Amino acid sequence: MVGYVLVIVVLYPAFKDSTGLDKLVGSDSTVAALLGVTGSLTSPTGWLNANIYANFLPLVIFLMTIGYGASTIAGQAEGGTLSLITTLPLTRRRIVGEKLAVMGPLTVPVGAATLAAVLVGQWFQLDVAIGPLIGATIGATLLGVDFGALAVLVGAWTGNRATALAVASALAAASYLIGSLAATVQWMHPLRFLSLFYWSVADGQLTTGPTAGSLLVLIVVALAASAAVVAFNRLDVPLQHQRTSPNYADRYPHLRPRNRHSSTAFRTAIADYKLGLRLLRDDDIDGDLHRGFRSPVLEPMNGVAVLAPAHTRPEVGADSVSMVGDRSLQHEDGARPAPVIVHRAEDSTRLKGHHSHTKLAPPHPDDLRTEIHRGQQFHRDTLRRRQRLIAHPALLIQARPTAPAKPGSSPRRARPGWRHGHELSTSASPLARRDQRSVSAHLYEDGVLVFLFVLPGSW
Amino acid sequence: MNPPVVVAEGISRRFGNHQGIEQVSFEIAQGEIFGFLGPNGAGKSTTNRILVGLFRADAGRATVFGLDPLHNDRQVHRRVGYLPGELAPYPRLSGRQLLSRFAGVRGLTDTAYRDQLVDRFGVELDRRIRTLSKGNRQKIGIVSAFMHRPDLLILDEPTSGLDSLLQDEFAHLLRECTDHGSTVFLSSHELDEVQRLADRVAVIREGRIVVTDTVEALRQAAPRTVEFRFAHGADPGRFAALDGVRVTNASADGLSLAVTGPVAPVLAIAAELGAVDVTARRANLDELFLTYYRAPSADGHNDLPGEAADYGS
Repeated sequence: MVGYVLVIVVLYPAFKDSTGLDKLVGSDSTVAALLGVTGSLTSPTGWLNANIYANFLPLVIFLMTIGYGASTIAGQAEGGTLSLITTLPLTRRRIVGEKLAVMGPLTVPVGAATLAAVLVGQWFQLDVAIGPLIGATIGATLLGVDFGALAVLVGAWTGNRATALAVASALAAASYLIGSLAATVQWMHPLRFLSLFYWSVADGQLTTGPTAGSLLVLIVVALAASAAVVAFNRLDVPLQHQRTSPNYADRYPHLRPRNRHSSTAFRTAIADYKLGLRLLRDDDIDGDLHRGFRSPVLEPMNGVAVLAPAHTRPEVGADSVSMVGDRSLQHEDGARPAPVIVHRAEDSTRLKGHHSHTKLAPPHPDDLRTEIHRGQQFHRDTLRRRQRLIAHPALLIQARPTAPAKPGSSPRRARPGWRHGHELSTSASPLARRDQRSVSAHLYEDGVLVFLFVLPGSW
Repeated sequence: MNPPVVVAEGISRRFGNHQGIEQVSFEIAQGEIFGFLGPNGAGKSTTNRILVGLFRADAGRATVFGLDPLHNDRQVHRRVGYLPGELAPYPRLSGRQLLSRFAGVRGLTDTAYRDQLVDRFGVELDRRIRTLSKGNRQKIGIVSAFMHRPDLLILDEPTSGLDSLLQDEFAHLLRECTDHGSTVFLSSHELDEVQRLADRVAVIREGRIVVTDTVEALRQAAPRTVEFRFAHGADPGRFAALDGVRVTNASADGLSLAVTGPVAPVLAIAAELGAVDVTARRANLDELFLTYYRAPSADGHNDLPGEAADYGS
């Protein structure tokens, strides 16, 4: 931001006497107005207005305030964090108040930095009166806070972050167009009072200083803020994206909540598909392991703990425990599933009682693309943290090698055979030598998703 | 006797076309562990959230400590420890930062009890929350719900993600709290958990409470399976005519009955018909709850649970 402003400021002497520029603007004032230019482009204030104050500065501030405003209540409500905060002994008024107040520290540095950079212009023949300059900077900042508060308001009203973003941005864009075009487009002229841009930066504030109109901008802040309080008071702080527990659903499949309104096969398919994808989320690792009918015992394989199927599981009292080697998986921090692809089960006798995962029927390839990207990202993370992979041989034994190891190539370069789960897990970062694309390509082409459980390599 | 800590009087909440909960009523006495049992989507979390003031109720009235949790949220929240079902703390903070901020908001200066909880559950405090596994995140949630020794604990699936040792530890913790006079509202879909921890249970299905009773009474009401073998066959109709008896299977030489309530009348008829063998299986709560869950709800009426509850009380 500061860099951009400095460039604009330093460039001013070069354009100062360019009458061509003024002619260009003068010949078609509507086009100029569209770009936020009113009046002369070569005067100091005209230059600053056209390049910074009428467009760039508000835009940068909007990015911060609207983005923050939309995520602070609606975003946190969607994420579930808000329910923790709302149940603290704080009034909702105070919660919104603090969230709105953060808008100040968020925007003031931008305004101050811009102001400082413009003041450097004193040495580049960019003489502007300091009073109006400060006034216009405050105006632009408040303008951003306005729309940020609006985003908070819409977010608190709807609980929906996307809506908050869209409404606030759309109104900001409309406000910009009206504010800048009103000066030249006849029919828009009366509308200019509707535009907050007009009241903060587009009415020659750089030349004349902020007028009483700027007060209006402030009032809007106050109104939007108090409306946001009211809205938040009546908001149902929602549940985080609701999921059915795989554990429960599998133990009592017939008890899955029936939705009277979605009995069509299509909707059921979507629901199942979503359930399948949700199993990829790290949160589900525990639920997955606790599945009633599956035997989730992990046993060492070649000295490396492997999630393996077994027929019994240790029991403590009436409860069974999932194990990695000799310890509980839940004691392993950062355990996460990684999606890889294997072929369909061809030899089910080797599955040793493992029930193939019906939820993991492959969805349409197109739908998988995002999952593939996520998987790739995850693999990269794995490499970075030097974590250890623990494979589920029940599933890995179905896998075919991604490519035959070329004779003569060094063992380090050879692709580990997918046929053997333990090979995959014996080296500290086996995926280092694995072509990420080949993994995802398989995922893309056909087959079933498999979970690898990744644990910190601390054995 | 102290007034009830939580009172729900016919609270209903609808989400668009979707029925959230309807006419949910119960009372929780001080020092009680009240289990709230139901399948996913039955309305457990919705009820939780109304009690803790996150949701409004469309109809009915919920009071906590005699206060409206929406309008007196500060007073209520000060005395409540809430553990949401889907715990989503600030991912970038460490557990220590999060807990100390929450403690700050609650005006909690004495961290001895908090440290004790951290110790008991082996909470990982110094890593960012987003790097923690679900179980470890849940532990932080538990500490934040319990650390201010609240008078009422509203817990939504509190032990999800915990291993069985910690589940035991959690059970101890709950008992300690109730011994100190705290009250617990425990939502869960796990029958085992509720059965083990709760004094009283309400079963909710599709937004309606189908039964509220003590665990012991429910156990008595659970259907027993009684099987008879007859030398010359028998007419199942005679058993079916009895109250609380359902014929689940009838073959040429035997009958299977699900019996709720006293078995004497059943035995009398069986004796009369000349039974040659009898097998009776212990009452199974699992079965009972499956019956509750399964029962049809076309117009909100189902006779089974009511019947069972009558026998139990």
